[in-house]
Amino acid sequence: MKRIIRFIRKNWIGAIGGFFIIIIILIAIFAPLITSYTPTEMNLLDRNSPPSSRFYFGTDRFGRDQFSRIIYGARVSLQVGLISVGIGVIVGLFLGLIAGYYRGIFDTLIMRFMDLLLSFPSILLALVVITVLGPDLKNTMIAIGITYIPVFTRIVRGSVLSIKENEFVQAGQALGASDLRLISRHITPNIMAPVIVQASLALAGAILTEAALSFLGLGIQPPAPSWGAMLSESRRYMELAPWTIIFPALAIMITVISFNLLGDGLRDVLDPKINN
Amino acid sequence: MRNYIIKRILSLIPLIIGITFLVFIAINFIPGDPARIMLGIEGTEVMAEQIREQLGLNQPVIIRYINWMGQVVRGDLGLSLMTRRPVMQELMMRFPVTIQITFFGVIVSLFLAIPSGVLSAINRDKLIDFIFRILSFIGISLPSFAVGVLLILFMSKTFNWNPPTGFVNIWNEPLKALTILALPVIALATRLAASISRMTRSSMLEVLKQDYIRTAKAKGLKERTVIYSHALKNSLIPVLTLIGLQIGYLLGGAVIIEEVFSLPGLGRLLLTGIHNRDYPIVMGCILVIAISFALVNVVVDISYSLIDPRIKYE
Repeated sequence: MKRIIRFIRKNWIGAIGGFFIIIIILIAIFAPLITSYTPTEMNLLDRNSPPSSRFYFGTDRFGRDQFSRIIYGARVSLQVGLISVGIGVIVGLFLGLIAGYYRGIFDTLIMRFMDLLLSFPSILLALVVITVLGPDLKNTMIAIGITYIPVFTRIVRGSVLSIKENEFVQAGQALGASDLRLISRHITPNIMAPVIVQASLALAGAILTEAALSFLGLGIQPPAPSWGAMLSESRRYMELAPWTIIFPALAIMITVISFNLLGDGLRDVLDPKINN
Repeated sequence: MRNYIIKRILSLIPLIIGITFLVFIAINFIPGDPARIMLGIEGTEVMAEQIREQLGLNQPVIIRYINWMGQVVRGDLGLSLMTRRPVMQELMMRFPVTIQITFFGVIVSLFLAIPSGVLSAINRDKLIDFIFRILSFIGISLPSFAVGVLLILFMSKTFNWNPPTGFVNIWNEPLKALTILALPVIALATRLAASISRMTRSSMLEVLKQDYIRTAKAKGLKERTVIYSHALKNSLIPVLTLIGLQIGYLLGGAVIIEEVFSLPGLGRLLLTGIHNRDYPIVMGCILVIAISFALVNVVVDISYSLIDPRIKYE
């Protein structure tokens, strides 16, 4: 608790980001309590109706309540963000620890492969992966997760290389600690700061990529509510129902800004290189 | 320098072989048989088998990749499975569209980002800094396709103007080309501009703290000279690195922007290729994108030494 208060005092902009994220998470969890319609429920008599006290954000061309779709869309975005970044972090930690700790052939093989993945625009990499796996929620998370593996592998490997030279690691080695113990007890806890910072920024990126893939029709499939897909579906009717464009765009923007703010804030606190 | 450039370009070869090999293997796993898609619902299995034989689709994937690479080295990218037109011809038609959007995207974002970043830095913590920082934060948080859709909406609601579709060569009809390119370029440039502006600001703040800036001010140089000839030039290295990294994302972003504005570029070709299981087209697009991405990074590396003569390549 003390640490949280210190973080808020030291970095109120990051704290605002964190505050918004907590609200978005609560909205996603309590979606059924907040909304009066289900996200796929069609009210054909109320198609394309503007925002009102009945439909706070208006309705789309099928008469679906935009407010409900956006609230439930938060679930999709957060889920994709957390799980895909989780995939990137877990696999990246594993590969980065092996490459940085054991060096040699493991290092060369892993890092060359990572260079290969980084030598291609990540959104296109995700696009190829999702085409191979087939578009749905699970595969969207896998595809985005894969694009984050090289990012985290590099960060972890770099940190392991510098931590390994510390005396406490050498002392552990001299005392006869096993590789597994050294990695899990001594190295991993000390390399988590840059990983956490990168993860919070990656969450913003993952949410944007999901929106982009769904926009192209290759991510979350209709009628499931995804902010990207909502933007894409409403494009043709935007002159008739501009609210179907504006609210999903705002939802993406606010969520991504929150994660970026938190990421920036965490970086200021956790990154020893930034002292101002 | 020349040796360095040659070495860098040669080092791209394994990278490009690697990425094309990966993608080649990957698209081989895409469910759906191109022969069946070509024939439609009326084709029989015998006809499908004939097509597979003709196109070499029944060979092992490694052999197909080696054959494909062999062709590529000779400058032949094969024929599109769907249109039976040479892939090279399709790429030559589509690539200029993507290049133009990306190129103007970079120019426009530099035009917006460098001055705003510099102004932010020299007015640190004042109102103007605050405004630019908020704007750049919004900029990095809005996906380019959303900016694109919002721009279309704004233009049609306010000016009753819809962006023209199709594409004309900028050298033949510059005015029309500019009206077509304007919105996609702005949509694409927003995010890049925002991130370059942030980087310029922080890099500039770092440089302004240096002793030589104080010396320059102390010896009575004009503020403008200090900022533009001393500080800005020295703060451009990290900005340049960022641009190199971001051009890759810009190429990716261009793919989506082309979809938003119905522009016949590489991205839409790739998407149709993927949709139709048109392997030669997909591989052609991937090859061109991978090569452009790699070349941009070489150019960025080389330009370091132009900005900072202390950086020399042997």
